[in-house]
Amino acid sequence: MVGYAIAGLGVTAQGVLPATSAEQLAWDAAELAIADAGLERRQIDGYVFQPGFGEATSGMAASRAGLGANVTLQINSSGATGILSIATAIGLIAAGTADYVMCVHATNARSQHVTVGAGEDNAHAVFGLFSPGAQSALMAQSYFHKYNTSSADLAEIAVALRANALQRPDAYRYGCPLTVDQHQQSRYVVRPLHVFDYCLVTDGAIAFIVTTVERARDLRPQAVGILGLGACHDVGQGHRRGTSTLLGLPDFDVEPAMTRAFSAAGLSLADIDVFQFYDAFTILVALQLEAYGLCAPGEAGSWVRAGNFRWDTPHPCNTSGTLHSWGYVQGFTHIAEAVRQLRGEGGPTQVRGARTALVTNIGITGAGQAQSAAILGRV
Amino acid sequence: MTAIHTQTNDLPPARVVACEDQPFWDAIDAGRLVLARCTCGAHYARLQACLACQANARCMRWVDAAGVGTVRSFVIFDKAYHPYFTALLPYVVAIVALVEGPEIVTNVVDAEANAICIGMPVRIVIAARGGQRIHQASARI
Repeated sequence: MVGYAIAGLGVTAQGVLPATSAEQLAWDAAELAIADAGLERRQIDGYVFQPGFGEATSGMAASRAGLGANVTLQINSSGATGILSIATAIGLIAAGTADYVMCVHATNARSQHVTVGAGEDNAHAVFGLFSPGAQSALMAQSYFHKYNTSSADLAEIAVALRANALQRPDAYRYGCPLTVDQHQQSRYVVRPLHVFDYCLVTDGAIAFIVTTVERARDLRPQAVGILGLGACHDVGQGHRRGTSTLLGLPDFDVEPAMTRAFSAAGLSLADIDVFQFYDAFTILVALQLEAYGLCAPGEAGSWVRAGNFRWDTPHPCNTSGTLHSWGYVQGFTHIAEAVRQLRGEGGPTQVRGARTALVTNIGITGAGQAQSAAILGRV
Repeated sequence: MTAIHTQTNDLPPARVVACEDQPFWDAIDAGRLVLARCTCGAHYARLQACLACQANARCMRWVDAAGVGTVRSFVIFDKAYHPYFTALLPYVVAIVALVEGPEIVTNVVDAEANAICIGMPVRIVIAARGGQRIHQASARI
């Protein structure tokens, strides 16, 4: 389905950015993306944004940045939104409403001291079950039981994510080594998950511009084609399979997202040069490595331990350290890193000759788990 | 959906009740666990289209559950993320698969947290939580 491309990328600093509104961060990222694409700000005629944790953005950055937006659209499927914003942008372009759609996510959750998911307005709060982390801990406990694996397997993933970030001066955890022992001795947030199984919460923003491949080729730098997209959701999968419990808890499944993305791209797993898996929690990475077929079920930890996952191995994954160690711009984080790799702008963790990338996003929403997948490639 | 209580040390989070599920919580208040039973025989803990025969949830009746099941997964909280739970630490939240089929979220009680395991049989009991009643899974069967 090569018809659309990502033509411009804007990535702000990530970390602790006090006294900066999320709207200002969105504006900063928008300006960077416009300059990167070599466009005039008034040429951006569509604006799609995901409101963040903390101070939610309202789309005002589109006005502040002087965009010529004919449409602004707020979308939210939690961590799955980044890739779904690409799908939304393509829809707006295909419908004839816009030519250059900017997709943006900005957050200042770190400086706003947001405790993600600590609200008590969910059906399980009366039992003391809070947060996507606790829901992921339920998945981890099942994973350990089913495959006779343990927290030490998840530690391998945390250490490999950190190892990538240690090569990247732009990563929030640059200069902060992590060992399996440190992971194992760290405090529990919710047993069986340790604090190092969790991603960061940082301030920062990412913007990118979606347009047609034809238009992207007139811009600079290297256009990154959107080769295939896919999505799935627990709700639909549960009803198709006859297993829906309406618990609103994750029932991990990537199948429709994976199948549709690869089918649209006309590619298979062996064709992918670099992977960016959604890593809000290490257990999500383990389940994805197995579900996407990089290793057998239950073997994610040993697969990483055996010399995979790091940027300089045969299967380079999460080359910036992503949510765990780089910065928390939810699903936009993985898209940005894939674009950088495909342009050859991966810096110290650049995968040589990378032409194709698999990007995944996962959102743990009130209605269950949303997954989205994108295959990007040089065009 | 309503969440009435504000966060204080005295009160737990309020039960969040969709209006269709009110009979479930009315039964809990009366000391019984009920499930929605479709005319085809399938049971559900919440109202949804019947997965077995595709019937609308309007075809279902609330019936008494056996109140027994097994732990499908669980987590242990050593830290309270809401002040009410401080006194309960460490506490366990589990997904329990009931013998009728449905899964429910609940606490596991009457066992040391470290003794709980997946597959463990449990019995549903009704307990007080602040000014409200909830179901819990007792390890004492």
